[in-house]
Amino acid sequence: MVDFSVRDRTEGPWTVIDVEGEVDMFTAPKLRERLVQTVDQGNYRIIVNLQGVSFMDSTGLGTLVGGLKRVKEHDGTLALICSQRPVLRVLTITGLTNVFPIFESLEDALAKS
Amino acid sequence: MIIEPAASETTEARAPERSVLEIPPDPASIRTARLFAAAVARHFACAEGEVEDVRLAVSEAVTSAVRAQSDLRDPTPIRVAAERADSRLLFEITSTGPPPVAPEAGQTPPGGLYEGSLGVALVDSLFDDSAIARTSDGGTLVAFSLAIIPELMNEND
Repeated sequence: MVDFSVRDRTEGPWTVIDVEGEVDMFTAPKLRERLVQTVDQGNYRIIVNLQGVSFMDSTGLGTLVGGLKRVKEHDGTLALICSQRPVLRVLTITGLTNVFPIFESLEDALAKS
Repeated sequence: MIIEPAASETTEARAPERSVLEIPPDPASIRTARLFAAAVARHFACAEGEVEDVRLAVSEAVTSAVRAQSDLRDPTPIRVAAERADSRLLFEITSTGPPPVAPEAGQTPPGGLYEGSLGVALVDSLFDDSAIARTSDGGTLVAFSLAIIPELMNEND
């Protein structure tokens, strides 16, 4: 079982936020904090890498939506990297696959964003 | 945290038909509830996709309960019960806080759409027979069930 972690790095003009573990009411605040920090630092092109996320519920979704709203205020973009079934399922059920650009790999995201 | 296996009424060595987990109304406990629910679902040989749905539904129900009880500063444990009833596996999450309030059309509920009532609405999307009810003491019961095949149960868990 992977402990929760949030790390960020730079890929060209993009800030990539790598998330690992399970995102729920307990851990989502750390992701939120990182998203807020990233935007406050003037970085409005964000890719959230969810490949290491084994679970996400609506609290996690709310955090991502909050991040999206923040970057949109600056005409920015927030894309997701996700191919894990449990996370894709909750994104699909809630219709958020129509809201976020979602890619299966970082290479894909960088090439098409 | 308290886990109570229900006593079997037969003399045969068999897995309990009802298991109960009690957890404090704390965000750190929500993962424990998911682990418990997933373990029960796997014991009853649910497909991995169904196990994931159970994890999500329990997480949403317990999160809603934690949120409601935090608002009231109520330390009463939240109960997650799993019980086999014929060919169905029933989950019930009971708590002492009030049920979430459905937002008025066009309005965002307190705490935001995703951190308010959407969570429990997700349970409804996952399980056709889900129910959210107010209990006689003003608390909340969230229940849902899924079909199981008893012959496939993992007796050695």
